[in-house]
Amino acid sequence: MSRFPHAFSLGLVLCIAAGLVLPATAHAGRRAFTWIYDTEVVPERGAEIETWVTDRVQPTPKDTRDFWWAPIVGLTDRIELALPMELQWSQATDKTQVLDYGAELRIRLANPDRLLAGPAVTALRVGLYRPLRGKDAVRPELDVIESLDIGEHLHVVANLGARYSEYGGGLVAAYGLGAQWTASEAWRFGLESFGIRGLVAPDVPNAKVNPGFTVVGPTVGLTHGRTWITFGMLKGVTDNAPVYMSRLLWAIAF
Amino acid sequence: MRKYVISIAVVVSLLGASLLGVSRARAGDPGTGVVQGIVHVSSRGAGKADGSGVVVYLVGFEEPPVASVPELQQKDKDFQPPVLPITAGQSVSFPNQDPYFHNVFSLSPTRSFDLGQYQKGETRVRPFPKTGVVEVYCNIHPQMAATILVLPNRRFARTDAAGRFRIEGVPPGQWSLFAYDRLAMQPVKAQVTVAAGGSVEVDLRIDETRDLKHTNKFGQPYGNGGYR
Repeated sequence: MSRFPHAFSLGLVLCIAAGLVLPATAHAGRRAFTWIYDTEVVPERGAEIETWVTDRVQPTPKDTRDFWWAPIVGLTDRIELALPMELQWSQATDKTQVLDYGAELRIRLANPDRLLAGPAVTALRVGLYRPLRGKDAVRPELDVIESLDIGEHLHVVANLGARYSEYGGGLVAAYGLGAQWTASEAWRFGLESFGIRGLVAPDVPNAKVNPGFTVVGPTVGLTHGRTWITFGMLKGVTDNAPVYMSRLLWAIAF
Repeated sequence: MRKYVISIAVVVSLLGASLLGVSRARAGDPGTGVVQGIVHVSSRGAGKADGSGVVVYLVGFEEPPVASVPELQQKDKDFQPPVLPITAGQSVSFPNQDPYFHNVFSLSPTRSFDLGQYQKGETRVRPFPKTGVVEVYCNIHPQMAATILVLPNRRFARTDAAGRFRIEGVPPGQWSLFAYDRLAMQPVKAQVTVAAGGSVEVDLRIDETRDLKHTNKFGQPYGNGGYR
């Protein structure tokens, strides 16, 4: 029996309701996809508060719901700093706990102006997280992001990264590919694929390399004034994948 | 709604006339003419003593831009000049000459941008490849407003305090002439026929009746509703 997470219904209702009652503006949306990072950064000395709600529906009763929250500040016109904190509810324990906190630098390797940057843009994401479980545990993360604008409407992004957790998943590669169509100033529709693949097992006895998984699904985004919302509903297409992974992202810019 | 009417009127004047009579005339060659005249400026029907700042331009032919990069300065919580005419393909520099931050932006369809906030002494440069009207504002100071007119050629001039202007190097032919005042609802138009070595005199009238309220970069009112 398939189970749709609560975030799916909430996300869909929010996007439809917002689209019906809120007029569009010309302000650009920020995150095209729900798992894949993109190459746009906050303007210099600009700020955003960004929130994610993630539902993972697992084959066995191990559903989780994550809440990720971060202020994001434009340090220069090409570099933004995020200071996230993540909480997680687990169905297995029926408890909510602070999962980790950290810092991320997102570095756009091109002029912030689309005309000057050209259609192809590269960005780097460097993160350092401190999981609360695990003494002295630190989790570095690195992503290389490449975006390509084809015409006025099509935006394609490829994402390749790695995360290392000594006591958690070990060394894991993350990969993603997405395509988005800008239907109007307010609405964006896309298709996204995301996955992870273990490379080195964690440094704990009897640990195995993470087999990884891949998920695929549609995304929808809405921009209005200083707010943007993106919602994605991805379905597992490999063994070990969650049945569904949904994520609702929203941000308020200042 | 009014600001869209104004932008549409200017865009039509720039694109429509160009499409109907595009010429690759090389202005500045021997055999060009002069267009000169006066623009009588009034404010809601009452004559203005200072008629300066109106930009008069010609459409119907194209020219490449000059290499220079003009400046739209942020100074004394204002933009200088309030109307900046440039040629399509030219870049504009936005230096901050105030001892506080500004956040220069434009939501105009011709060219939208957000320069972020930078300190005194720094500048940002943006190219303007398409003809049209670009309304420029500051997201921090609602009283700051300027217009960049991106024109198809280099044949434009600003009026002096007496409202007089002179455009030299105009190729022979029949062209549309426009006078743009950012405080007027729409530009004033005239048809001119220029002969090689000749001079055309034009007399125009323009009335400033535009309400310049605008929104911030998020499309929302400023704290005090926006003004100027």
